[in-house]
Amino acid sequence: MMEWLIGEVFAKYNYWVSIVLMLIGFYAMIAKGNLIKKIIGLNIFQTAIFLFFISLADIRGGTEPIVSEEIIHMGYVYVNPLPHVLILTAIVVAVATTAVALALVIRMYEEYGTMEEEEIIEKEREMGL
Amino acid sequence: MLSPVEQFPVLVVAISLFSAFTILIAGQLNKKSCCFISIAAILVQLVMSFFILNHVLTKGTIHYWLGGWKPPWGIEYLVDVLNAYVLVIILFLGLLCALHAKSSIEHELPELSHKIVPFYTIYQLFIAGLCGVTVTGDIFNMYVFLEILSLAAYALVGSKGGMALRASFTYLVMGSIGACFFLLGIGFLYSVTGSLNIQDLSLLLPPLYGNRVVQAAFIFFIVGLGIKMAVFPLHTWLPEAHPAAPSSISAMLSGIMIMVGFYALIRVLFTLFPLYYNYGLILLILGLLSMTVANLFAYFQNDLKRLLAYSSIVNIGIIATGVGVAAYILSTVAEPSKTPPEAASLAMAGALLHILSHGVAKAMVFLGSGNIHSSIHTRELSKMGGIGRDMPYSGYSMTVGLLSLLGLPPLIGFWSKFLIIMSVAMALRSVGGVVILTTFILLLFNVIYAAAYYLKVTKVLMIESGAVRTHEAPFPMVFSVVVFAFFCLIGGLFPISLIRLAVRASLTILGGG
Repeated sequence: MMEWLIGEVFAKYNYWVSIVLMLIGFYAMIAKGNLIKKIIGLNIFQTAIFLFFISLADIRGGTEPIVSEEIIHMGYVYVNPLPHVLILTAIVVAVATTAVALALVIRMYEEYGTMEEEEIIEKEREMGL
Repeated sequence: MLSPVEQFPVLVVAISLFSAFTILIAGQLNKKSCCFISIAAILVQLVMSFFILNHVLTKGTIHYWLGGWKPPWGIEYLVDVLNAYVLVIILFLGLLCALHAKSSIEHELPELSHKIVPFYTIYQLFIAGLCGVTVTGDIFNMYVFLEILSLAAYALVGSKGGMALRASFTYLVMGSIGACFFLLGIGFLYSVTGSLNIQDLSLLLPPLYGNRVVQAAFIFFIVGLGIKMAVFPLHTWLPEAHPAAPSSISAMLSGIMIMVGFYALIRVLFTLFPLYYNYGLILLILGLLSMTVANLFAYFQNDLKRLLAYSSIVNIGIIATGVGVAAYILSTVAEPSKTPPEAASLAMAGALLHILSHGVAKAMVFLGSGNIHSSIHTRELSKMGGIGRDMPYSGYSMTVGLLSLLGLPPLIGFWSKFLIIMSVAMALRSVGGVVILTTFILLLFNVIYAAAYYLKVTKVLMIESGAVRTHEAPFPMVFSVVVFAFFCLIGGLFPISLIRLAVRASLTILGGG
């Protein structure tokens, strides 16, 4: 049991953190009624995936990936730069998603005066739509 | 040295990105110029896409390396017959919907007419996303374009305000979950192979098929793209979002956007994963469930656009079934030979032809519902009795579209459904088994049942009475609807070249082309 804990949980804690974050975000997106909280859930969910990607790339003791003859001869290991670049793009996508979502929430707040999903549905029903 | 046509795939994407921001600037000076720039840009892209299609049919696949970096490192744009085929459909629909939007934005949504500049900018980004997903050969690039496309779609769905805002928000939450799953799947594949190029992955993955990481990636791709294309248990956003959008946007969403999600799924599944993962069976079950459930809902809708949205789920089910049958037949063949069995390639060809026939017919009917909405400002079927007689062009065109969706010969919808049912019947003889038999029965039941509500809508539009007297919609709106109707009719009367094209496309994806 202890060996399993050390080998699978503590040694790879970054992956476990990313899974836990993912579940927290997913729960917030599904269960919360407040639209802003849903957006926060979405952000947590996306951040968990970023953490997963960055965990993949990192090597303990790895240097920055500026490769020269000297570095290769001296036997340095360097971290993989590609996942970082991918995540840079994914962060931009996440920011854009958040911006669109917040814009929608602002428009909804102007129209219905609330950010609770249930109240919005109720008001739509009152308006007979 | 690349020939000019080989540079077109990247230009197709670049033109719509470039025109999006041109519109933003030109719109400040002259608002009227927006739609002309948009239409001109899409027209140029359409002509280019025809050149691309011609090139891939005669000279073979186009490989374009962005910035000259070779595939495993750089991004590659890879266009074969399947991509080129989907690209032509996208731009054909995109052109006519942009033309329709020119008037429908003013007539259908007067409150939106002062926002015409951002509308066309986002529309152009939407087209860029659609084209990007189809031409790219890099899986991460595909994710980025899928997100450009989805973000543009969220904004366009919400553009009407009111009810549309909540629909758009639901769509955003669902769509983002789907995209995140897709990204996670990419991460899993990257962690075991270290590559993102689809062709390169298809060479690196086979030794790793037993690996659980690859199997998890497979599930993530199916769920993630399943949300984007709205198959049954993941479809809940679609009947909210598609009717809420302005009608020219609904036409694009229902006609092609969910199909592009489906295209991405076909591309990923067939090139990256082995047949013994049984995705044929998974797609069959999802497809049959989607069409049966959505059919039952569709009949009872009183809102025309909502009914059509459910009908889109039915049709995505039909296409999923076609592709599923193809993969299922392939997986039952004991020895993989050079050429796939005839039934499999026919089923795939039927599914691909259905992308075209459903796209055209559904886009037309949505545009037609926009014409009606611009005249009498309602979407309720009960208030539309006999409106087709007052609006003859829209009315008769919509009848053609509805009958094509129903699958009545000699319209194009008949041929695609015929090919799928035919191939299932062939599989019944060659493969047999409970799965194919159930598929055959459910498919026939659904195709016949769907006739009930298509005929109901036709009857309301053309035969009943009760609508207020009105007049025909303005010229651009009528024009695009009539062009679609002619396409359905001519494509149905002379289907041979279209079927041949679909078979070529199906062979490129199934192998042995």
